[in-house]
Amino acid sequence: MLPARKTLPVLMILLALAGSTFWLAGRWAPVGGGIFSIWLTWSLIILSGIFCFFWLVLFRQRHLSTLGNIREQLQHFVQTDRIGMIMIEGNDELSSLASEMNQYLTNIKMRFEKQRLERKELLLQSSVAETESRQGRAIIQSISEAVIVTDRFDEILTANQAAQDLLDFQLSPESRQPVNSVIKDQELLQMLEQVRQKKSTNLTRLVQRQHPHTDKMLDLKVLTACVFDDEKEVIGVVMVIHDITTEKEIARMKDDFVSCVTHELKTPLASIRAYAELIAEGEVGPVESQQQFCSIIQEQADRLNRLIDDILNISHIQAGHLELVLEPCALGLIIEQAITTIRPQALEKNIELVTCLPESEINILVDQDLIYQAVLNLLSNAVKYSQRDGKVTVRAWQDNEGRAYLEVEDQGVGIPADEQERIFEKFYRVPQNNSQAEGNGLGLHLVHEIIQSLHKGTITVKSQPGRGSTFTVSLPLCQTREPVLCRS
Amino acid sequence: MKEKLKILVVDDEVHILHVVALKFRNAGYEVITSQDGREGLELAQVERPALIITDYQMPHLSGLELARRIRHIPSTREIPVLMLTARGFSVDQAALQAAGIEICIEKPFGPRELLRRVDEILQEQPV
Repeated sequence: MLPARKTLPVLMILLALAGSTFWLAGRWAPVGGGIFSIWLTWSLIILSGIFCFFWLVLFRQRHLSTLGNIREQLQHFVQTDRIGMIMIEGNDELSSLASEMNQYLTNIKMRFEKQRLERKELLLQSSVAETESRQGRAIIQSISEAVIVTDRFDEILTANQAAQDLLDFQLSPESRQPVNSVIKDQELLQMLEQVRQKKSTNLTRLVQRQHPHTDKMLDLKVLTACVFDDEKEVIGVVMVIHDITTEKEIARMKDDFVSCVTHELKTPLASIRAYAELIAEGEVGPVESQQQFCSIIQEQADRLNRLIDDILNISHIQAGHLELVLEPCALGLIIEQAITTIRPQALEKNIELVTCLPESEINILVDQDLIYQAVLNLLSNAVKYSQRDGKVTVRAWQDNEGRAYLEVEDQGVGIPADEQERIFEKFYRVPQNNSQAEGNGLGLHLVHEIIQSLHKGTITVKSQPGRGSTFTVSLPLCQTREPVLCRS
Repeated sequence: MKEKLKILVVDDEVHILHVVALKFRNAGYEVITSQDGREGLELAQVERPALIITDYQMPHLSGLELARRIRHIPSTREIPVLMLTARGFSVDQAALQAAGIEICIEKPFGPRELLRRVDEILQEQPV
């Protein structure tokens, strides 16, 4: 079929043909023939017009049908919210238009698809960034150090609960607040400002602050650093406040321990050194004095040895390196062995040693050597801090709840009430009783470790100054006959 | 014959007292001893020794506190104080200076060296 755009030229050709016919008819035809040619001409013109009219009607119907088809397809695209291709048949102007529209729609679709992919990528990136941000906040929240992060406008980006507790502020969840309206500590604010101005990556300062809720004085290590973007511009500041109170306390305790050990080791060594020099330089006098001096040197060497043993034992217990051999033992037998060892010392001061033990055997599941050491230390203290002609009583019994008890009572100098809590501390000696007897302040600490830390027992003290002390130890009774090896 | 100068020795370790007293008595000094810082302070006021040798760590009153108090009592202010210590590096040197302690000698010490240092200090003292 002829395309619509060619209908008008066809009509023009028909009209031109009719005109030419008329002209030829008028020039060559005889009279009368001219009328025929005019008639023929007009007939042709009319036929051409009729032909063109029908042609146009037919074309219009087809055109409308195609447009309807296009509209339907476009409506379908709108309804389904998608971009598709307009499918029409033919090779006329509308097909050409549809083809161009399809090209245009394809371009839109491709751009749309590209934008969709870009949006998806952005969403993914945003999601990752949000997750990372949430994780970062969670990490900051979970760490025990106080952390404050500010943005480029000196507003608080985030601050964990530890920071809010330590610096006594509450962060608004709705909006970012200027750091100086939230934190009132001028020194910390100065640090933030200083770091920002100097673009510093590390500024550390040690400060002391009172905890706002507990009033406890805290030693704080404040670390401040700038956060930079890719262009090395400061985009914020991070402040981390580390509470080093416990660390300093541990360091102080360590120093105290080393100092105590040094003192206790050097004291007997000083006597040994001084007596040895006097003997060597012949400043002692008669032979008896020399023997006496040698005896003091031996005694001080033994003291040194005991001290080293005690320190090693305590160190082993506390480090968990001591292998306990738990076996059923008769408590009475351990007490008798300890009394036999301590008897010469008691005799020197004419101290009576009394034992009150039940007829039936008390079996305990313990490391025999260690319990012997503990009982010996208790007895040794009782004798050392007793006056001459005094009495030391050792009792043992058991209850119906699976516990064995050991009691060492003396009539010695006693311990003031306010000192009783401290007597089991390492190297602690009651100042009032210090001159009564030699000691390194480790004996009762070792007893405490052996009884409570290693044997799940208890040790308590009752004492009155000038009237004596009573130490009571409780240990679990033996439930088995087989030895048990375990590590402390 | 050397004039008998009086030395006060304060230490809670009886053996140190014994050995220092013996050395200084042999060297011609008069020696008074105490095992307690508080008693040492009283003796310093009563006996007015030419020099005080004190231990650092003692019950009731430390050697440092004893030296400080001696500096605050007009009658004892000028007495030189020499300290013996078994605490090693942990002794605060600034605190020693503030308490006016002339010399600090670490334990273990040689009695001969101690005597030499005491002689030096006393020779430098105005008569």
